[in-house]
Amino acid sequence: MLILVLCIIAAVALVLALVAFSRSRNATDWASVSQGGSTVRQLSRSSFANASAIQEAIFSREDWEFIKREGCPALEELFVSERKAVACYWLTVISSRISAIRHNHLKNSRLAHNLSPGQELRLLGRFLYLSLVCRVGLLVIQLGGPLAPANLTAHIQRIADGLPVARENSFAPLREN
Amino acid sequence: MLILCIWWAGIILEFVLLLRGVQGRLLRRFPFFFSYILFVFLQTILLYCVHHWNRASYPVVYWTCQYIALFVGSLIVFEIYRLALHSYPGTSRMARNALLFIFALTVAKVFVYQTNGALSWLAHAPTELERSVRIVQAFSILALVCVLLIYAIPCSRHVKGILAGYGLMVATSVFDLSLLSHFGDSFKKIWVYAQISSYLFFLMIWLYAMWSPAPEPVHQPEPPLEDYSRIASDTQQELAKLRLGFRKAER
Repeated sequence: MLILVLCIIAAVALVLALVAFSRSRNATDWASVSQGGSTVRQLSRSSFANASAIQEAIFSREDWEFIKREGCPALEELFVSERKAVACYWLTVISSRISAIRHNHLKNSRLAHNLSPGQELRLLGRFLYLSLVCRVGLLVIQLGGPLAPANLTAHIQRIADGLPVARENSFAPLREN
Repeated sequence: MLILCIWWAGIILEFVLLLRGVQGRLLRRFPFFFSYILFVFLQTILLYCVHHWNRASYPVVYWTCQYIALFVGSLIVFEIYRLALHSYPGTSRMARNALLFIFALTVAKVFVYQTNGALSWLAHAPTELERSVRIVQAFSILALVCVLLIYAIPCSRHVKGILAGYGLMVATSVFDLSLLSHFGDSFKKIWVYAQISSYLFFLMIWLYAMWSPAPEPVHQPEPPLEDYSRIASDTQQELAKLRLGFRKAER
């Protein structure tokens, strides 16, 4: 019975991989892949021209206390949802940068004659770790209430500021940030 | 009657596929694939004749042809590896390592069986042998597809179609043969129908892929290559900055 189950799992894994392969786009579409596919609600990019100033304005505790003093539940709800959206936006940006670094690496390494499989596996582990951290961050923001995202997004802002810019022209939209 | 109809449909589809190979000048590009189709085409006609005129020797002829087809089919995986990765030495190396790993696992498994004195079942249970070979093929194709997906190797619609059709055929075989060896003769009748009718489906996938006048992906001139250790260290540095930032955020 165990062999039957294992064989069926192997067959299903192969079918799923083939479906993904058949639907995959070619390398020229990498840029669009790194930009699309996000299920997180994003605010329009034009409203984030000066990200640091907006972050200070929106995430300050004073703003939250001011909104609470107004005693308007609808306003509080709007404030919380906007704050979450901004935090999610920043995590999505970081996630996009991880994807950009990964795609850039794969694009170069697939042509390298002296590629080291062990090194590749280690890097894959790091990419997976960082992507997981982003996912967990998104979860924390969704579950953490109105004040938790503030500190987190402040840190994320600093991370984002220190990030290297993707080198390839194909990732030009990321440079706008 | 139904099985005869499916049989004839298979012969016609294989013939059309071979015609398409000649007409579209695809034989040179995919020699192993069309060798496989030609072999299966001749095998189907031979089996049809044996089934009609000498039914007693049908199982022997069937399993002999099946093992030859398994070997020729394995060459399709090699052909896809050659076609898809010849311009990408790095990915080719990863795929080689993955395939070597699977081969080593297979050898280890056979060695364990041999030391247990259990190799004699091969002669008595042809379905078991076919299932084992199909599982090795399945893992080889899975490794190849994963490498192609991870490195986003551009593949033509022809290559995608061949790989999808053959991969699905292998997956279906693993599934059917596992059920057959588990349930025994009670599943045999369903197995015969499932095997033949699913093969028609794979032939249609191949026909669809071969009929599309999809151009090969254009390989744009690549920039001068850096050394791999340089590429890896650049990536590690960029990732290290990200990780440092996350650690700060955790505090």
